[in-house]
Amino acid sequence: MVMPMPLLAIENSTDHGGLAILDGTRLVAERNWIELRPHRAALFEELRKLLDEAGLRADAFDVFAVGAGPGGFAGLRMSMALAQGLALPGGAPVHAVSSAAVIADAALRESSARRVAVVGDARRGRVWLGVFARRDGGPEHIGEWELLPDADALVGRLAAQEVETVASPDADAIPELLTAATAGRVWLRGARRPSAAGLGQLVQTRRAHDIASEPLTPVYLHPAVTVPPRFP
Amino acid sequence: MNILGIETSCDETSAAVVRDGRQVLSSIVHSQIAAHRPYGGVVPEIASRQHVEHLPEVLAEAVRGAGLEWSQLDALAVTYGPGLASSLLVGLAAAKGLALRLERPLIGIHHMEAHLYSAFLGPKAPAWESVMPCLALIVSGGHTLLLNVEAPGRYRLIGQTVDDAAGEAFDKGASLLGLGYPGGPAIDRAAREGGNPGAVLFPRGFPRKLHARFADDVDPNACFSFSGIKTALLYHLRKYPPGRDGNPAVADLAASYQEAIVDTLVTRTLTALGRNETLVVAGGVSLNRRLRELLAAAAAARGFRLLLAEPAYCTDNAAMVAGLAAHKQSPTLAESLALDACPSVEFG
Repeated sequence: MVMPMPLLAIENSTDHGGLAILDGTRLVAERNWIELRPHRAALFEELRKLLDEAGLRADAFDVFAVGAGPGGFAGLRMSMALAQGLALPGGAPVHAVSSAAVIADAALRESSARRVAVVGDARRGRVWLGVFARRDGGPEHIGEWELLPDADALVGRLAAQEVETVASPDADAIPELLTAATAGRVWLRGARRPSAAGLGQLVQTRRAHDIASEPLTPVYLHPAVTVPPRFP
Repeated sequence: MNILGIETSCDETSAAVVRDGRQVLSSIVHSQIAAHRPYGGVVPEIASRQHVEHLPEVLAEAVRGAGLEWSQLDALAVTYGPGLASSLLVGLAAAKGLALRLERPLIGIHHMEAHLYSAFLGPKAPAWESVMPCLALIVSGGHTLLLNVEAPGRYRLIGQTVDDAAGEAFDKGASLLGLGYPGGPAIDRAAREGGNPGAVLFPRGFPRKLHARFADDVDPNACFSFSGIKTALLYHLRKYPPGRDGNPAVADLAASYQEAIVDTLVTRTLTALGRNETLVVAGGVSLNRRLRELLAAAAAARGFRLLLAEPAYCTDNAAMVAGLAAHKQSPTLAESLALDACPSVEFG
């Protein structure tokens, strides 16, 4: 059972940022915006507006939820640092879950599939793949994040993982690849971006099932350094 | 007034609590040197990843170490630039979260001004108003500059490096000599192992108008150039590999290379000193023992006051950020939240 507990959700993994306040699983207020600037400074002003609209202070929350990506590093790092800054003084927990799991959660609610794949543009000529299975405590990430070079490789992995449904936050960026790779499967068309409200609801569900937070670091698909060390 | 400072401009994750601008109640620095050492320099992406991972614990430890509750903090301060953009953003985001949560002002601090202020931290340091006007040399891995400090907050840049910073030259030189990273301490240590500073005469990097592009309003005679020294070392090593045929040993090369950098710094600084009665020296390279020796000797000979930051506050740290913030006006909450990272903001 989900206990009523004020939660602030921060989802900033894409250009479509979002903040949501939930009381238990009930959505109290939310703000969504589009920001293309690399510094993602809108997050803070949007948070202030959200608090004003909800008539709440920043010390009102018992738990913070943050989307961990995959996605833009600047936005992910800022949302994690912001959540930690908000949480530290009161000792409230920060619960991270991948933004792809939020997309998968919405996709599983929309279909009857047992498994759903979330596919995104990983840049550098790659797509990323995360496969999620339907569970009571929300989507469970099966296996590891995968980086794949092309549609053929993606087709092979979708078949091997017995994926029935595919969703992507980057459908606008990789439409041909998705069209080619999802033949014979259900493709939830359009860009399926993670929402802050969805993130908050998923975190409340996970907490109700005693599922621990994922690591409080962004999902890093590429290594930090691509050159060999000079002093190994 | 208790201020919590945050510093994440480069490769140190740091938080500190300073009371009334001078009394350092806590100063926590999580060094990332081990993570960057294999690459011979700071890797921005590694730095950002490390900041995200370590900042929360560093913040909690700073407040615990100060013996305070979070509610006893009166303000927050954070470095907004110059520095690595992706690293600055982590510190800024955490600081804004704390400012919102605690309903306290967040004061943005210029990294170079904080380095300057580091010489005024601690019980033995003079009040900074008492030594002005003065000349300041700020010398680190990313910066080498000379400032006329007319009053707190009133600075005039009179000289700077036209290419590499002194600390960068140390890093590159240490890499060429196989001494590892960070280069400053490595070369300092190697030079102390019986190295002869006169074994090789490396060029002193005095930029000339003919070759260098100077920023507006700086004095070419107060500017530095360190890229030539590194190139000279590279060619020397190719021609005279250390340890062969009586060639200078690594300790001699380290001492000679260090001497060229330090001599350049000291000569330019003393030229720029003019009638100033006080010279303030701050930044990571100010830990170099040969630099300290030569400056102390010059101060004794010429009769000026030499003010060096305490060793704990020479490299990047948040105590200098929190200390300086006590002298700044408190912004509104809206202004605090609008503070943005400025990776290449000028100074002076």
